Amino acid sequence: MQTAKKLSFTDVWINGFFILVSLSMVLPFLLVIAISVTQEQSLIADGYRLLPKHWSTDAYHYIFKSPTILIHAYGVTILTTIAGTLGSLALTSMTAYVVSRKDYRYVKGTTFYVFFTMLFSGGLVPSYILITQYLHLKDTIWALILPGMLSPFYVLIMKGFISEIPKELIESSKVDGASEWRIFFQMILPLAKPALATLGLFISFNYWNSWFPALLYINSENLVPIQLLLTRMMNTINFLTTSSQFMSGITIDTSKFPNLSARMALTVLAAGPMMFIFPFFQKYFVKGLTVGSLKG
Amino acid sequence: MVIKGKGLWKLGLASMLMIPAVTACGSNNDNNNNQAANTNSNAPATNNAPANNAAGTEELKPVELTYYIPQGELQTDYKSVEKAINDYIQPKINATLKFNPVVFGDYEQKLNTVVAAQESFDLAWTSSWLFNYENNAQKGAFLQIDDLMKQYAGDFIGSLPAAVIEGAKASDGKTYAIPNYQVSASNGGFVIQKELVDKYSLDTGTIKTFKDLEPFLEQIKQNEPDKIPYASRVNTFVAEMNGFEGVNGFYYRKGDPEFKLVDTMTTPEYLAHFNLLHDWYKKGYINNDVATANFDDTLKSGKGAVKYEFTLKPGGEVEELARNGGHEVVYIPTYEAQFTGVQSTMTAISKTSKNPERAMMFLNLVNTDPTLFNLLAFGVEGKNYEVVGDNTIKIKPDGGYAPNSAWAMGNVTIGHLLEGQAPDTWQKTIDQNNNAKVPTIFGFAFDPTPVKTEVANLEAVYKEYEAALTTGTVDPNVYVPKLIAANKKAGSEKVLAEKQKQLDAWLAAKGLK
Repeated sequence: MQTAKKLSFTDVWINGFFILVSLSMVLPFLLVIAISVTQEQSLIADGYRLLPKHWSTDAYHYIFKSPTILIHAYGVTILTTIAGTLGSLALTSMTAYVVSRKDYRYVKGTTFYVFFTMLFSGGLVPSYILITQYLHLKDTIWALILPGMLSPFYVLIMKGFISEIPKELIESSKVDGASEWRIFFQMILPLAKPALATLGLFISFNYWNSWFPALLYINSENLVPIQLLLTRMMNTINFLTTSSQFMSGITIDTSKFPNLSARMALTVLAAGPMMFIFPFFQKYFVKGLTVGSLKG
Repeated sequence: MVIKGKGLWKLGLASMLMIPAVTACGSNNDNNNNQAANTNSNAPATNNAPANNAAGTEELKPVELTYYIPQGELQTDYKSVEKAINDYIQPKINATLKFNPVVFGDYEQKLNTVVAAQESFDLAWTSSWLFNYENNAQKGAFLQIDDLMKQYAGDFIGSLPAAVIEGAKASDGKTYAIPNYQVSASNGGFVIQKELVDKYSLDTGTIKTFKDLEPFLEQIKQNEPDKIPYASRVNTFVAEMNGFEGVNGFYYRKGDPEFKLVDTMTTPEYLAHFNLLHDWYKKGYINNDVATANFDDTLKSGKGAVKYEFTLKPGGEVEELARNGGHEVVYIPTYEAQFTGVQSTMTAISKTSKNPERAMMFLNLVNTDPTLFNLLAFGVEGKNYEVVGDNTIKIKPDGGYAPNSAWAMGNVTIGHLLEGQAPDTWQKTIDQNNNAKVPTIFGFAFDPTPVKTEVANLEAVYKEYEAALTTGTVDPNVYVPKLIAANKKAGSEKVLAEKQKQLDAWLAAKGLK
């Protein structure tokens, strides 16, 4: 059984193909890390290299020079990610459970209501008006958490998963005298763990990577999430390079802007934590994904 | 059981529907209460105010002005500056200021949303190149301020040259924003590293055109292997240097009584200019990777010996230091300064402003009162900057407030000078503005609506050629004809005809033709 297998042509081809695919994904990230530890002058002189000619941790010094902003930003991101993911999972699974119960009278109407919002949404300006002028969430942490709380797409995935749990399970629990709450929390949720883990991962990615709500709704500097710091830096640099002709008459000291390696260092810092979280979810990941597609 | 369950869900649904309604009412009430509370807490201040100030303030109720302003980088400490400003302006106009700083990259998107949502704010920065003044004025985002300006900002308006007031008007002839007064006359020119000028004793007076630079570039090429003799950038065909006259994008041959507009790209001068650059490229005066390299990075490396700059401002040599990797530079203007208008930085009052009069009073103060302007632009003395000489300051980078955007905030000529700027910088700025040549067709504003598609197409075509052709990388004898052909296909003739039509109408209205 343990005899060395001869490599067939197919094996070589398949392995070779996937090695290339993996490299194309891993190399850019390694390059980002490499740039972040390269000396700025060497970047301008020698260009990007996987193995930097001149090492330097200046970029990280630059970012950690004013650590309060970074710590605040991390705090905001972590808080919104945790609160958002937990809240979102709770809402998603409850909504999904309700629309998966065939004995719920308005199941069709409710499902359609959820589905409908996938096709049509209010658009940017109405959402902005709703959040700033009716809910008065502007410049509060809630503006970062609430808008992403319930995604119809995740509700439908979750519904697909919960529908697969035999309804006899629910009925027998009822016979045993369990209340609706008890059935949901003690029967359904534990059985839905793979789906919860998968959706949890998706949702936490969304929260972790989200910057647009912050761009629109946040004015005070201590509520800015880390991704907005990054986007801002990129936007501003991009802006300065594209409108340098207009700016030339006006005083802007471009040397103040973070240089290339600092940008990459911030990218590493922003993306890093998620890279470590991902492997822990992986075992649920595959299971959860396939499960949703088995049955409608 | 089943019935009970159903009832529970119904109840749940009903209560869910109720929640938004309840919270909405709740927060509305909160707001009203807050406002009431604010009014009360500010009341004593109102009573004190008249003591410091003459009548007129008495009837002013305390208000808060929200101010959207773009910055290069957000600052860590707006609070203390806000407080200092408010302590200063409250006795004068009984208003407090609330900063809403936004970085440049986000400014347009954020402000467009704010305007579309009709959110209430008072002041916002606007310009011809970012968060467009003309468009937003026509869209109804800004308040028309001709009357307000006369009533509340008379001192400031009176101090400005007539061309500035005229230039602040939108295409419908009405004013929607106050210009942030600064250098509004431009002459482009060469920027050369001082050490090289001294070393090769270059007589800067002899340099008038690109061609004149050649011997100097050759010297650099021979003797300074580390330098790039000419740091080439895109778009260096300057119509004014080639016998044309007009405003940006609308040029006619100097002295043409018919004001016949020309498409400069089709002129022999255009071809000749890029032939020269291509020649330099071949001779090695220009770095090989110029088409793909980032111009600012090239400069930052300190290698660029000579470059062309579109606007040379009085005192600008100091700012060039940082851009050129710490090398001192010399300016060589190449044509007579032209008045270029004031729409590159302005401050508008929003149509949704609840207190436009107070906003205008604030603008008047910012533009006439050095104390207020310096607070806004540079922060608190001692904390954010140190005075190092007569009206000259040194910014403390770690003071928490160094927005470095005085130009976006008001009349820079009443403000402090930065360390290294000559003491007469502002006087020179004012002189340059006053003495600048005002092009005959200044004030003409083109309405691109009838040829929108063509204009967009032309831009796309140009972008394709810009990097390679206008840096000197490729042979213009091949690529300029290609560019002209592509432009024709994209509708350049139609656009030119439309420009001419509108210009003729404008000239006729002004009695110039």
